[in-house]
Amino acid sequence: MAGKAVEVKLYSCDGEDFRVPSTVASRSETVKNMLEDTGEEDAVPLPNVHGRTLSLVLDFCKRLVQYEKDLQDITEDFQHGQLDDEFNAWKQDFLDIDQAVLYELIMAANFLNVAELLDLCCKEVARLIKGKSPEEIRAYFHIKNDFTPQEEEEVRRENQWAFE
Amino acid sequence: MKPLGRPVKYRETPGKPTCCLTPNTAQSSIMTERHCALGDLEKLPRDVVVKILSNLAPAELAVTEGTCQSIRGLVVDSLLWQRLCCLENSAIGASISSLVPEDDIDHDQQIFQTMGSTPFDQLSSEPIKLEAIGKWHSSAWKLLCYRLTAPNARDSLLAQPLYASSTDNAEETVENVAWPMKGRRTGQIWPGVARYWSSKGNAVEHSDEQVLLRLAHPACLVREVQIQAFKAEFQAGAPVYAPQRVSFVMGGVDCFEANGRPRPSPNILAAVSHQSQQHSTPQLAMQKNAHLQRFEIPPTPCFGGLLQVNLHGRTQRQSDDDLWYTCIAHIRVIGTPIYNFVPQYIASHPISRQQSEEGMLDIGTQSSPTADDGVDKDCGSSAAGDEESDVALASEPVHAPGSKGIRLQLFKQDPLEAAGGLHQVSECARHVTGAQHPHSHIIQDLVAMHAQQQQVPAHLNQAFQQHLAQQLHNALNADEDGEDGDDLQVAYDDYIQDAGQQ
Repeated sequence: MAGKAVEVKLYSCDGEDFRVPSTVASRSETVKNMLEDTGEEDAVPLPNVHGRTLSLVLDFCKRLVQYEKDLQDITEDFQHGQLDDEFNAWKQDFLDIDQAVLYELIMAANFLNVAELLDLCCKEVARLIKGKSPEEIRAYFHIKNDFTPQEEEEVRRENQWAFE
Repeated sequence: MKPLGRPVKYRETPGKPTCCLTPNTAQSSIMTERHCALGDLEKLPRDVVVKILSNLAPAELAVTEGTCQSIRGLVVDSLLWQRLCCLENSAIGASISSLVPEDDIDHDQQIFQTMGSTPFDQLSSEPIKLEAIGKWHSSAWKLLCYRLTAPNARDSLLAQPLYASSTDNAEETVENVAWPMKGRRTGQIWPGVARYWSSKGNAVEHSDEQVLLRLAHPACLVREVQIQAFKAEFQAGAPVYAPQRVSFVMGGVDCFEANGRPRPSPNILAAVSHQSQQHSTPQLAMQKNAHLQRFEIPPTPCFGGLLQVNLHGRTQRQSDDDLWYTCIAHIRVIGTPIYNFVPQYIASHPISRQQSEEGMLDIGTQSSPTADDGVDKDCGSSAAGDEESDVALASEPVHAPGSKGIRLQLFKQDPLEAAGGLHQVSECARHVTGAQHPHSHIIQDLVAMHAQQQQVPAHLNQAFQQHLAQQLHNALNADEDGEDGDDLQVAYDDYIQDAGQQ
């Protein structure tokens, strides 16, 4: 049943149609559960995910499957680090996207339940926050400062050590 | 259902993924909804935002928390600081059950005092009360998180050596391991006086010794212990009496009162032991030399203030009596006090109160009828003064029903800082005051004389005395001819002259 050649069909909300190996599609827990329910012959509709985003998600899953396959194949320990480096470099390239696309990717990863991708994207947003002042964070993420002056003072007092 | 488009074979996107946003996608909605409560993060599910925040380091989370109410609310509701504490230090996370305010009885009132700005008349409103409790816990865990990531204190955390499993001669007391390093060469700090602890001789090479130390704060995070074995320069061949291996056990015994002050004379045996709260390290090999050797350990909490140093095996026989000895010149404990937090054991103290006056030296005479585990070796049968018996730390482990962890009480004024800070108590305060200095009476006399002559205000005397102690210390270390009085007089005259010019 779960042969290598088995392909499944995924439909995005804008009607784009993707054919991927079931090993790749199953990296999404959501898709995996649906395939288990309906069988691998049926097309899986994904009404919450845009084709452009789904393409990115599937790229990631494909690379992840490749990485895991490579890991199993290696014979020497030093190759482990090499594979990690390659995968990390690929991830960095992969994440070189607009902020808006990043959010869409997060939502897709969350809906499709691809834990590795969700982790990766959350780390990326955290990386964007790092090293910024409160004002810079507000400007970057378009956050409105809705603290009253007292509340702001209270947080500042609590956080004195963080601002130093 | 939408009509399906033309089937497209899944293809790899070459190079960087391109993104051409159509007008009806998120991009435009962000543009129109600029500066909403959570900003761009608004449309992400709450648990995803929490996931993002949990990837931040403590200082970054503190900054982010201060950007808007929604994020602060998420941080409070998701107990993020508590989770971060456990992430930063799993040993701590596993051992703490909860944090409580200083005045545990009047919990609500305390919260509002701590929160400061929330008006009291809102107390009647139940949701606000809950919110305040949540905020209090969030900020308490935040403080704890900060404490746990603090760098090492400059001074040794060791405040007072309490006990050694055996001591050879009275002048070789375990107190000596806390004499400061400054000026100490091969265990000698004052000319002609070797400062070290020596065990009794033992016929068995693989026998163990144990040293019990009290740390400066009831809650400490220990990252390193430094031990210097003693090199007996005065014996032929200058042998080093190092143990073979060392291991450490932290916490489990209350050396402090509930208010965070040290017990006057902690009775180790009588104090209630909490063995579930002990943390022990594996045995670490020790080199046979007279250097100060560093033993780095994973950051380990020490609740209750007791550090037990186990010295395993021996490496040196004394030629006079052909017995094995272990001698230690110096011990330093490196880490940070967890300021403002004092462990509050839930268990009651059934025996500690009456016996605490008897002092730790009676340890051999205490019987331990309920001892039932491996830690107790033979303390019950020991006669008074039989110091060779192994010390039993525990009489009866007390487990509070339904709770395995320690409650940490948050004090607004830290007991150690109230007592003058770590520097004032580290290594028996000898750095600062020169207390128990062999010539301390000379300093007293000089200070008194000086006050009389110069009419120095009384409050300056203390600083003056400290200065003199330091001067004396320096003079004696620089010049080992033993003419103590002359050196002191010179230091004293220097000081008077300095003071006169200012």
